[in-house]
Amino acid sequence: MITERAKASFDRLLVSSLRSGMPVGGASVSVEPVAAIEKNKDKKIVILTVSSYLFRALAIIYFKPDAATRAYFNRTAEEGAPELSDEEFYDRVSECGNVCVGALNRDLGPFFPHVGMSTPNIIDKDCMQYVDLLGCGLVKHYKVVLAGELTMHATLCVADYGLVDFHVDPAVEVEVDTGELEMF
Amino acid sequence: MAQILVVDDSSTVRDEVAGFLKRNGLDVATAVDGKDGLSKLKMDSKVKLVVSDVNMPNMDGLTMAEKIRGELGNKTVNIVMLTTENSPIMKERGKAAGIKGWIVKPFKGDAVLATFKKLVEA
Repeated sequence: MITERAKASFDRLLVSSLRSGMPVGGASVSVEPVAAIEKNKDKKIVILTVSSYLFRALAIIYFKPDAATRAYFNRTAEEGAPELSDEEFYDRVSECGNVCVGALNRDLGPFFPHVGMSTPNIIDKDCMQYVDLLGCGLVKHYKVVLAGELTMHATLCVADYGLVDFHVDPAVEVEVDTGELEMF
Repeated sequence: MAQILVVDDSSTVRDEVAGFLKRNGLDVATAVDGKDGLSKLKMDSKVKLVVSDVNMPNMDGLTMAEKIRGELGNKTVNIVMLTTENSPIMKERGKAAGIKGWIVKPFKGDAVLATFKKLVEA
């Protein structure tokens, strides 16, 4: 069972991680909840999991391997640089998912000290039908608009194996100094 | 002969980090996971700094760090983790393996360049 405040906390953390992890090259980002993902819009998904012994959270980012999406993930390239190969494009989307879910994983750490995350996997969107078999206690969908023009989608599914209860206070911002070298 | 070995399963990160360091005058080699990193380090005794991801297939970065100190017996190479992880448990494991520092992704080259240069010159 996932308590209502835990559901709200998962939601808050995922939105925050999408806002911090999805922008490429300083692009603007807006994230809003949607009731469902439009069918047949996107072709692929990058999926990562964050797991503890109490739950498994699946963070899923949908994308199309089209020109607009490729251009977005290559927007930091120098002028005249070649277009991304398929392999490079998929790796950039994967790393974007990795940074997003890494933030979710870090934010869950104080509440669930033994939480761990997977590496990213890109699979066909049709595989999403099997997520239903997990009987998730929380499923939330989001629309993500990047640089004001590229629309992508994301889904958070949490399968619970016990009582999941935690509260993220929206008034408390936990800052992590990303990119800074912490010396030991 | 490289001064820095960048280990990450993501080609995006390898290209970004290695590209930045090369543009700033450093000699850089890359490896795709901990196993590859260990193998490359065995073959190149000039490496002064290893910059490694934690979560990777085949061999993770912390296991690689432990093997660098143990299996390879290399006590001098500086090791810095570049990862999305920020768990105190992982950091303690890294410290026990003798790693020098920890960076939470995304990589911001300007924030670490001066320290990286010091570490390869030490």
